[in-house]
Amino acid sequence: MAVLTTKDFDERLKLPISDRSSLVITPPPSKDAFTEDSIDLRLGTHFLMPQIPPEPFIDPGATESAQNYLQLHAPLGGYFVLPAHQTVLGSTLEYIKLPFDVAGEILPKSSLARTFMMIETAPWVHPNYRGCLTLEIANASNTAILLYPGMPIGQLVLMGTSNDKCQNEEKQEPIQLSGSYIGSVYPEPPSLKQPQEMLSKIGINKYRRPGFGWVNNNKLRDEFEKARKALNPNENIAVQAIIQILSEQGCLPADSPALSVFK
Amino acid sequence: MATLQDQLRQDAASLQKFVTSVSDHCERRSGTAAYLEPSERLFSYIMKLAESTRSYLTRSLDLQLDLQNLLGLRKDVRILRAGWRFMHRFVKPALDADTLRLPSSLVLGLTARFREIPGFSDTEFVICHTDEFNYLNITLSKLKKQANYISESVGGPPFPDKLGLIGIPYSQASSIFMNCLIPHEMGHHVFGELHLVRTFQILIEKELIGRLGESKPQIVECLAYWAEEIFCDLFAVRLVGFCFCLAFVELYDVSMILDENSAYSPGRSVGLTEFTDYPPDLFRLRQQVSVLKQDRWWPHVEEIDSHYVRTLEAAGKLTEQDFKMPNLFNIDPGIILAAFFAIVPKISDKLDEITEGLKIETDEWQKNDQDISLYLQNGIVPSSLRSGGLTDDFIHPKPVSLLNASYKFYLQGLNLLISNIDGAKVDNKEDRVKWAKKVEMWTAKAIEDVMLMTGGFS
Repeated sequence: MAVLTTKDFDERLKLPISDRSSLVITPPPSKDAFTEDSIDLRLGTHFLMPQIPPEPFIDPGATESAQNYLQLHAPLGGYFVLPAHQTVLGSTLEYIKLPFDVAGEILPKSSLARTFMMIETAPWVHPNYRGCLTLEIANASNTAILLYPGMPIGQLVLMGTSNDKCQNEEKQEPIQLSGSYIGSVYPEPPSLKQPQEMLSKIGINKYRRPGFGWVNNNKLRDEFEKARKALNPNENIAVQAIIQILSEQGCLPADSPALSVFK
Repeated sequence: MATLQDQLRQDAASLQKFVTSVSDHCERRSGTAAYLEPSERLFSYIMKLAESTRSYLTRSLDLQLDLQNLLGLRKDVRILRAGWRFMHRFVKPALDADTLRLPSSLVLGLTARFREIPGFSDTEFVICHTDEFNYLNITLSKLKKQANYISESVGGPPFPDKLGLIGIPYSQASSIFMNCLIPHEMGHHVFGELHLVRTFQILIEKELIGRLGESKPQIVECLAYWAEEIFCDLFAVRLVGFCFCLAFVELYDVSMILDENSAYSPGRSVGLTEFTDYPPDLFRLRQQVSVLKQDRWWPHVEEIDSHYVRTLEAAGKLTEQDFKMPNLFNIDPGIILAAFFAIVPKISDKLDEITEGLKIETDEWQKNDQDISLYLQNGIVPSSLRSGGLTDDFIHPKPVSLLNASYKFYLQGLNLLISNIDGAKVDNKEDRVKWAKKVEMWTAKAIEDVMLMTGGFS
């Protein structure tokens, strides 16, 4: 895996976008933003400020994640104040399309890092990614920091991968784009999976949920199914209504099998 | 019993409380909200006017006035309150339209385009929210008149020059395509600034006298209003091209005139061919098509595979005989319509005169349309086309090209994008909504990028 250099950037930027090896960065950074082995990226204009959640914790998949953020916009020419010890989701000004055989890593600008500001805790960018990169910005210092949209904030290092699968396919055939955050222009809130979905993959069917104790959705589903079959249609409607009320009142976990069995 | 001076002190205090409550909204606007510069100018003006009003009230009450002057001051207080009640209407809708609740980049791009019109190079627009599902030009002359009346009475600042006010439906803040209707409202601004109402009233009066032997003010007013609406439509098409017509068809559901074979069906056009207090949608579209033809958009538009375009095609083929009006004025409606139809070419002439020197963007769009479409199809923001590598050799398509190419892509190319997305299906409504929204976001981002790259923020 070799780090791409200025010459590689130049060659790939010149390729037609339908070419899988092409690199797109827009708005294009100025020439001095391209160093020998990285590209300086600038801060975008939209931010998501975490709010105090309704529950005293973030429970993956249990809450609507977008509701946990305050959306903010600092137009070009304006600024955003990041208080001490606070975090915010931002994004790069640049929209990026990575080639099929290149992965990337975004790193903080060293001068900014010395103000104790971090910009990224999930820095890896997969091949074929397209979008503005979401930045998890944290001000670890004791003073507030002003963020000016358009200021250099990070540097993108690109690395070639040996993507044999794609190498062998017809080059001009469109690539199927995949991933949770394709095409984002603004910072996006996390799309977290339900615990059941994540844990069952490794054979854990029973787990604890705050407020509900031990949950075994597989076992519960079987029991609900059995109960449902014993109901006549009118009883079934009544149970559905009760399940609905319990769900709306937050008395059932969001991934409770009751919701799918009695829908 | 309270003296007149006491009553006046009470009334002045009450007015000051009201004025302050209005200006406080501007002064203490949310720290988390950002506004475009013209909105900031409006808020700053309102705060200064409020301060002048307060100072005036203090000064006046400090004076030893005789009965006559006290009565005069009481009248002033009443008139000032009426003026501030009028101002009150605009503050919240403007405050609601912060940059998160506006298609900010589109507004900047459209304003830049508008400023290319000779004589309007320093016009700015304040965008407000309205709760109506319609785009509105807020009659600036009334607001300006009220503001300047207050200003003259209290010795305050004059209303900011070269400022237009436009209302957009609050729910359409993030839509790029629907907001292609904004240029129509910009047309109203031009119409007002150039006092074209009077120009057309004179022409209409002449036509009516020629046909009826007399001119009736009620008819003149109605026809002048129709002329204004048609002018604004034509102005919008001249400014931004066919994207305006497509948004018009979409907003007003005009495509319902088509039958199952996408052919024009008169039976489905009830209400769309009748002049009432408004010119009918199909007449408006017919006139819009004439500008598309004049500005050389039409041969390209015709090729777009969309029922919106088939609607435009059908409207373009209608003749004057296809339009009717009810007997609104106890005069043969045929005569009134004939008088109006005689004015219509003069509306086009006026448009040509006002926009003389404005570059029509057909060629620029045509050069970039395919590339923009290819970028969108590949999920890429189309702000820098045909890259020259590390050099500055890029093409940054103008906002007009971006809007037209993106709208066209949305109508006939969305399937190509969706079929590039793993797991998405062209026949799934949710997927269509999701990726149509993305196309609008990429277009908005592209306009912002282009404004940045071409000095729009300097």
